[in-house]
Amino acid sequence: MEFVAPLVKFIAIISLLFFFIYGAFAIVVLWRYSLSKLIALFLTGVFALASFFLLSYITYLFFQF
Amino acid sequence: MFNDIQIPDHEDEEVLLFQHEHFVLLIFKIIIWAIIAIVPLILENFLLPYLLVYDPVFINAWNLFQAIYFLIAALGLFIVFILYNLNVHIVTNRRVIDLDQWGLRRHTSSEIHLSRVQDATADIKGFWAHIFNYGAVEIQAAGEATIRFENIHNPLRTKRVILSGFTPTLNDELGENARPTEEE
Repeated sequence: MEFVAPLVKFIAIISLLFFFIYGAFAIVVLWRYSLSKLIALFLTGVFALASFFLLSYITYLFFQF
Repeated sequence: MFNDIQIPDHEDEEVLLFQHEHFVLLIFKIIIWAIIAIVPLILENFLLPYLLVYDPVFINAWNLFQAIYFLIAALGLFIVFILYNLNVHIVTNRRVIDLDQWGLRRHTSSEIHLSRVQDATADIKGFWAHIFNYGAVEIQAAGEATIRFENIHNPLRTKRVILSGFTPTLNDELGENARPTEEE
């Protein structure tokens, strides 16, 4: 069973990489083409806040292994 | 800041219609997203009793998987709102503007001057489209150019506004913004 922890960590890191790259791309697209920067700011803010809490929890879980 | 579309572009340009995708379709997408997002919570009720039999490392792995799943789901919801925000259809008293975002990787921006518009067709198709009054408007300009407004609210009214060139004869609440006719 000792293979489980490294495997889970590897999959978690790949998933987080995907999240950061795609999330950054989404924010760039939103700010580049949005007609209202206020709405872009609001959407980015809500997304950043939700991501911050989830990433904090993920970091905590990651070091439980 | 970055967008090349300036609205209004001239002093005498007025925005007559500013439309996103119909709101019902956004709600529908959010419901689909919510169903997908709660899948781990449903699975947990079936899986967790079996996981407890094994090593506690599985419990940690499951919690980590769940948290990452919600993170990716949050990104999915963010993209749903981005696409809603970036798909914009605008009719002014000078031009018709269609901004389309196809996923995150393709953006199209089309403009047709109202004087070049030759034909407009409203297309309402499907059960829910008739119930909630949404559909498409296809605008044909001189030459080969066409613009298609997808899933907009009240396509018949949009078609009337475009085709009338917004003359004072149009009988709706936007009448006072009428564009002067050729005779005037």
